Amino acid sequence: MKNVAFLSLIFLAFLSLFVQVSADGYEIVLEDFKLVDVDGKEQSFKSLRGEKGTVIVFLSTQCPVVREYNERINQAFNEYKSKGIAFIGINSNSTESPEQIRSHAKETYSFPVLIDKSNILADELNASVTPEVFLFDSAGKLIYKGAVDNDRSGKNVTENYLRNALDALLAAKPIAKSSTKAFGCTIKRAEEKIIPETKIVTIRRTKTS
Amino acid sequence: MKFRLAGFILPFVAVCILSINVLPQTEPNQVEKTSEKTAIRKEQNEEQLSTVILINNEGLRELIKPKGKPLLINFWATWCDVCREEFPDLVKIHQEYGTQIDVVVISLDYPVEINRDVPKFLSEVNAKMPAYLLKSEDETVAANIVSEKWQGGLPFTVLFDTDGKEVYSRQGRFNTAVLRGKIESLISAKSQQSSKSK
Repeated sequence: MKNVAFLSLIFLAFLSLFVQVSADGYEIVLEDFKLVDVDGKEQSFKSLRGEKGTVIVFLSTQCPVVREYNERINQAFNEYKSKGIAFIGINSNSTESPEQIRSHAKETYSFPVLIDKSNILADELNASVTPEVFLFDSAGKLIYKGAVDNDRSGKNVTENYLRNALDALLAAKPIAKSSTKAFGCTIKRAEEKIIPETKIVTIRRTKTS
Repeated sequence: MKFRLAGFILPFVAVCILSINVLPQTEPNQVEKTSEKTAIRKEQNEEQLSTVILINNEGLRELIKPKGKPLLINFWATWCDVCREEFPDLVKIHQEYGTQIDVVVISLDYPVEINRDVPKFLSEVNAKMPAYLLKSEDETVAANIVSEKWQGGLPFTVLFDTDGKEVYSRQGRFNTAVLRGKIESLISAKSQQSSKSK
């Protein structure tokens, strides 16, 4: 009887883990992408990703909410880079010029910022807000998407969504919240997209429910 | 006996753990209901400025229920350029259809702006529709109360029919022609319905 109870517990614990990582009904694995950085040099996910995991953060040079979060994003980067976590900034706003993105990135961030002018990566990840973070594990599996924390101003933060997810990833524990929403700026998508002939984002979606 | 008891207790605990994990996105009704009894607080501004009402998630839940007419809601903020750009179009829609549909605007500025930039901007654009400022306890919950499609980006515009069914939503600047078309079809469907019932 004891064994049955124990097995039930194990089974349900596994089931709960499964539900957490497949909140949208799909398991998403980012295999690779190729985008140019602010210096015009081509970069890839494979070359930039971290040994333990990667945070992709959608940014904007103009969004006031991003401005409020910059310090917290940089603090997280500085704290987790030595733990095998890489940060990659993505600017998918069609209304922001490469020059603006370049000077803003150089002044503000120590991690690479890539330009996604035709929103191809944003479309693939269904990113629509800035700032919005996507955390991938070492295998490229999406394990958290959403807000950095639960307070724009930074004065009343009670839940550090990104840090909690990073700590759980590093401790090989389940992530309590795999998806959140927060108010921010909408990514201004390009009206006319330039789609390259070769595929620049390789992503695998597997239906889980 | 101990084993039998463990057999009951352990699965029960496991189900509780599972429920906590499965349900993080559901609305914490109970918590909200007890936490802020003062869901709606009226702030009277200077005479010439618009009145803006402070709401929380509970107030939002009530506000998105249509009251006999189709309901158009626009979420905006003074810090959002696109929101400010599209606002005059919203004012025109309110002036044109304001007797046939309800139009409300909900600001996501910080509460400190309720007597400052929010009413100031509304007065500048001559906005006469009911105006609110949402101080959300949980923005994931707030966005999901309004629409599953809303990721939190501003502006966000949503149109509900009289039954509360979402017939149009747009994150980012709305297309005036498309929105007008949706409003017109709701109005004509309602007038056809009322002439049939006569």
